[in-house]
Order: sequence, then structure tokens, then C-alpha cells
Amino acid sequence: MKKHPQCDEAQKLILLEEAGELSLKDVSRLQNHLASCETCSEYKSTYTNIILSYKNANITEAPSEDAIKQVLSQATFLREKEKASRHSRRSLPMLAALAATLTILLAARFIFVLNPRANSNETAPLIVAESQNGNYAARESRIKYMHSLLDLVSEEDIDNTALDNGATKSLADRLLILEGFDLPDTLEI
Amino acid sequence: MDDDEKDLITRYLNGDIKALEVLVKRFSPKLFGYIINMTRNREVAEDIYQETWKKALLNLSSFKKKNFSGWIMRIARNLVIDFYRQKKPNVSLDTEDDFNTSLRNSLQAPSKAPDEQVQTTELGNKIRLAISTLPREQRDVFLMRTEADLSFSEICKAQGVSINTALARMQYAVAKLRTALKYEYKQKEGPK
Repeated sequence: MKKHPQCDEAQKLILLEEAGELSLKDVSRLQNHLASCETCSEYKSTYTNIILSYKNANITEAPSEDAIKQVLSQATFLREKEKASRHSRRSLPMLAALAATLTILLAARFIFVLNPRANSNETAPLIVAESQNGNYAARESRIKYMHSLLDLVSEEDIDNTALDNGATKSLADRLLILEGFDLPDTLEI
Repeated sequence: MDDDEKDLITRYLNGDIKALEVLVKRFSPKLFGYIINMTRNREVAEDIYQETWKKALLNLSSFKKKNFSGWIMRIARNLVIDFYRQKKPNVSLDTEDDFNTSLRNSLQAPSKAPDEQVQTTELGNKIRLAISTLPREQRDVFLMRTEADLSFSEICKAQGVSINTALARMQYAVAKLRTALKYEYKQKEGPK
């Protein structure tokens, strides 16, 4: 028997209604149709019966305990792997910071040793002058500031802000100025 | 996705394996029920079940969708399709369909305790056997709706078809089940 086009649509609406996906407008449209169509009313009752029998029969099979255990051990493994990779991702910037600090120190040391003024009595004129004048407080505060600059380097790098050449140079310059060198194009401290 | 599921996922991502255990146990009956009814082979179903979770776990940190159930069922469905694609066409039905064989055997065995529970289970088994004879696409829609409790809008997304196609597949499935189970329902309703 050929199905009426209205019945075909109504049967689709029955499926949607059971799934809770029918709009209020369509619910009333469906009810109007069902009131006058025995075929669709029977379809609705059969459909509901099939769905209910299937759900109530409790025939769902569970996976074996072993399969569940495998899933959970896989989950544990993946978490640990992720934790380890996160740890290594975190330590990379720290290593970069360390490398940057060493570069600055080496650069400073290199200039300090190779600079002709560095090997003479002019090595650290400001510091020498301060020492001679007994101005130890000024010297100490400069040294403290140098340390804070070094701390800044590592903190910046830990935050993933890698030091570029310009920033490295700027910090090296600052250290040298603090040491008492009069550099061309010096930065203001 | 309800708040509880969201919370379980967040807790797992922060390292709490117990939270995942709750999630796995909650979704396993639906998920495995769908897979075993689609593959009709317990061994294959267990492999796909584990693979589904593996894929889900690998992508869980980037999972931002609302419906966890729909998402994991889609993963399972894709793996079931892969299984059918890889399956050699000359595989014997006897080895493949151990699921149906055991089902048929259980139906042939006379039940000695015809109480309501047994009748319900028998009817359920008959429905399951009838479902196993449905064409794959129709079986897929039926199981996604009944086992996984997915809505038709979720089913059509999972199948990559229009909602009309998903509904038509369900209509065909229901028509076939209706014919296959005609006798059962007449018996249940009794003579009019």
C-alpha cells in the first residue's frame, strides 16, 4: 500500500517526538494528524513498543573488566607522558635564561679583560673612586642593583620572553656602566 | 554536556585518574552496546572500544564541545566504519558472527522459568537479533538512538547526512523490525 505523503511526514514527526526534538507547533500538528489517521497511530504505538522493549530488556553488554583496565592504564600513561612533556616545556625557558645569563657574564668578562682600560688602574674607576672615598654605601647599592638585573634576566626568560640580542646588549651595557665605564651611546640607568 | 561530566574531564586533565574511571564506567554500557551491535563480534568490539577511548583521551584536552556522549559515539562510529573498510570480503560469516550464533542459540534454548523477566529478556534478544539483520546504515541510526541515546540532530551530524536522511533510515529500520517482530507484538497485545 502506498503511503500518504502526510503520513510519511507524520511518521518522521513521531520519531522526533520520541527523541524530544519536536517543536510545540509540530506537536499540535502531529496530534491533529494522529486524531484522524489510524495507520500513524498504530505506527506510533509500534515504534514506542520497539524502543521500550529494547531499552527495558536490559540486553546491553558490558566490556570485559580487562578492557576497562586497559583503558584506565592507557589514561594513566597518557597523563604521565603529558606531565613529563609539560615539565620539559617549562624547563626549556629556564635553560634559555641560564644560557642568556652566562652569555651576558661572559660578554662582560670578555670586554673587561680585553679592554685596554680594563687591564689598567681604570678597571672600575667609579668603584675605585667610591672605595677610595669610603663611599661603600653607594658601591653596595650599585652591586645590589647589578644582582637585581641578573635576577630580572632569568625571570623574563621563565616567562617565555626570550632575550634578543638588543636586550642582551642593553643589559651588558648597564652592567658595564655600573662598573664605572664610560661607554659611548650609554643607556641611562 | 552536564556540569558533572565537564568537571570529571577537567579533574582528569589535572591528573585525577579516578575521575576518568567514573566517566569510563558511565559511558561504557552505551558505547560498548553500540559497538558490539554494529560489529557483531566481541573481540573486535573490545578492540574498537579501547581504541575509541584512546582517541578520546588523546583529544580530550582540546575537547570543547557540549555533548561528550555524541562526541565519543562519533569516534566509535568512525572506527566501526574503518573496521568494515579493512575487513576482507571473504571472511566467513561463521567466524564473524559469533554474536549472532550465541544469540540464536540462546533463543533456541527453551526457557524453564517463563516469568516476566525472562519474557522481557527473550523479547529483547529477539529485537536484537532482528536489529542485527538490518542494513548497516539503518542499524547505525537505530543503535545511536536506542543504545547511545543520541538525538536525531546528533545522529545526522555523526553520519554526515541530512536530518531527513537519518529519519528515513530510522523509518526503514522500524518498518523492518515491525515485520520481523509482528508475531511477538501480536502475542504481547493478545487477541483483540
